[in-house]
Amino acid sequence: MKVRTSQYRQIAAREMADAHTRRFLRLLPVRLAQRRQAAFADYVNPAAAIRSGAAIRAKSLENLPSLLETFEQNALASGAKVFWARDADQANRYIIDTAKENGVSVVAKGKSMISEEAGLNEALSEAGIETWETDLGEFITQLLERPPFHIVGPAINIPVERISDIFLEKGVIDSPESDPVRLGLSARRFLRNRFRRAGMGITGVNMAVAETGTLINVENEGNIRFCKSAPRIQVSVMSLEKVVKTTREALELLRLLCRSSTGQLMSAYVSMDCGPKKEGETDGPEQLHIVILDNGRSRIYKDPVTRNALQCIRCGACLNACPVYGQIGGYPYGWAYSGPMGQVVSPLLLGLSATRDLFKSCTLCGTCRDICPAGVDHPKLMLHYRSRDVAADPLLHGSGSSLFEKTMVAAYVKAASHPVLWEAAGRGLRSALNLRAKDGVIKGAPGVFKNWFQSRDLPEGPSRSFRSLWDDDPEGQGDDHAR
Amino acid sequence: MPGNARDTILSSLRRAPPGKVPDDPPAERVIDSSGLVDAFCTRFTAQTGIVHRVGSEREANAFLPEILKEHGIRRAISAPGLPGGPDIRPQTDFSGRRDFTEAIFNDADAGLTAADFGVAESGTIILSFNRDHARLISLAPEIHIAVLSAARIVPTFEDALSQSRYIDHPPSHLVFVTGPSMTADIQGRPFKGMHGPRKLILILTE
Repeated sequence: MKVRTSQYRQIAAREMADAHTRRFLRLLPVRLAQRRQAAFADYVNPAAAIRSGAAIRAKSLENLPSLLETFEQNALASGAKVFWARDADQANRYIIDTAKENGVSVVAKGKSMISEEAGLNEALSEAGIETWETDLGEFITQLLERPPFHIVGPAINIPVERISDIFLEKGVIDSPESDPVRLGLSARRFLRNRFRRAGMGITGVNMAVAETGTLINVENEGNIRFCKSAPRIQVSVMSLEKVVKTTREALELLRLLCRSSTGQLMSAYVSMDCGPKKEGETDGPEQLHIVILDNGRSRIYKDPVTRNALQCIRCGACLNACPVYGQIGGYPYGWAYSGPMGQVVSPLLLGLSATRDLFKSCTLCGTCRDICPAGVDHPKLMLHYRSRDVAADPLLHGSGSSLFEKTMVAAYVKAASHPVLWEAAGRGLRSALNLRAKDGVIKGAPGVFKNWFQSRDLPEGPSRSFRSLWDDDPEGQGDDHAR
Repeated sequence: MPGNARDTILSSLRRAPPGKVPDDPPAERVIDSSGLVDAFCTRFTAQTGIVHRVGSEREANAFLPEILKEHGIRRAISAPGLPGGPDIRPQTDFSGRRDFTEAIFNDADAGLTAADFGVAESGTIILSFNRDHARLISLAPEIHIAVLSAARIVPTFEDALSQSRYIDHPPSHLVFVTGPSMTADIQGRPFKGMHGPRKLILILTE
């Protein structure tokens, strides 16, 4: 997938003017947030439930190397093959080689953020392997070549006319169709044929259980089950932080994941694999390949502060809670991960200098952190990125601050630590700005202030500052001043 | 080389300094005061699952033709050991994977399987797969009919997955099914039967 994180502002401006985006942002996040809250009602204490999820994730990460080893041992014992990949290239190459060795020409894929991160679809297509996304929303975004709008509904904002057009163009339907259900069912018929022909099914992994070597996938449509049942080869791509120690922990997290994501007590299908199909079994994969992908995560893991971002379980609840996502939708985040999830994950994977607008566009309201079932502290991470960016951190690819920013901050520090200077600067600024006031409101100013006024107005400043009023009447006797 | 990648990744992870780990206990959930079977049925039907409660396995066999008729099922494929009939072909009838796959994708209106357990906390049925139970039976046809004994309904997922049948012989594949296949990916309009079954029917024997 093409990374567009540096076009955040342009895409956000475009999206805020888009009627379809606006319509879905009024509906989807609100509805999902309500359903989430209702689904948490069967916890005696929903806040404690969230804390327990955070504890499981933190503990799993703390023991990550040993859990990965145990997982590998048990997965191998169950008959699976395990491949470790340092980066996306290694993972993609292994999957393509496996496909070629086995004469696979058609691949069916389940929705998987890690494979979008790795650009697996593009790599497979370049290698001449026909690759089909099979989750309905992901199928539509693949045909339209767009990033996901929302992790739960990747194409939920696309108007039916646009879907009908692209389905006609790609031969999914024969005549225009405006009914969402009939469009969905035509995709069902089209993709069924792909499931039958596919020699390989590729899925992501929601959780991996160390003590049993089990892989877990969560879905509602059944396409992941097809990917694991019909083809002769299954490839499960997991980013290395997905492992938990026990089945019990996995079940606790599953409850939190399904409630947080779609407000369900359990998603329609949760499927678990322990090795390839056993001898005598009619269907299921003859080979199960597990690709454990690092792609920068072992570097993120080294610092306990950034390690926190690896606790994310990709439920998407933070998107629905975020006031910024609620205005701009998923496209401006420019990659596989959107919303607060994207704001904490993408900067670590792509580097701070390529993602500055992502971590700077946060209001630090903290709603995402408060509802996160995995204990990610988004605001803390974003403040960390801001400071590491200014400090030009070489590991995180911080870009440092511009000469202008440095000068302004130095000037501010000077003024703020000298009362006389502060008073003078305040007086000067106030009278300069007040010259632009009309009917008590300042609507704009040139130069360095221009951007500030882009989406805000400022009330006209008073003739005297608070400090000078205070000096005149420190006891607060004059009522008109106190008011 | 893969061996290298593995060792590099693991040793890099091992060199990282420790962090802080909170130790919160698993969260308590509200205990359902209605009976186990009723609680299960309420949640199962909330997902549009259809439950037929019958007295015995024999009664289930006798009832099956009625269900087939009611839902317009002309041809079904079943996992072995389940009630048969003229319209129901057992999985063992097929000579190989290719035959079976062809039939389950194209010829079957319904798939008939047993369920291992019912889970009351979410109205879920658990299916596990083996040589007598192919994965696609409960997935490819438009209707999935499952048979479950009420004695196999347990309160939680932990109660089911801690059973020795799963611990001693882990199945290659296991699925929690909570309602039929569904999506709302186009314009947020929900519908059932996106890829998997449109209808989920449970015959519950007492």
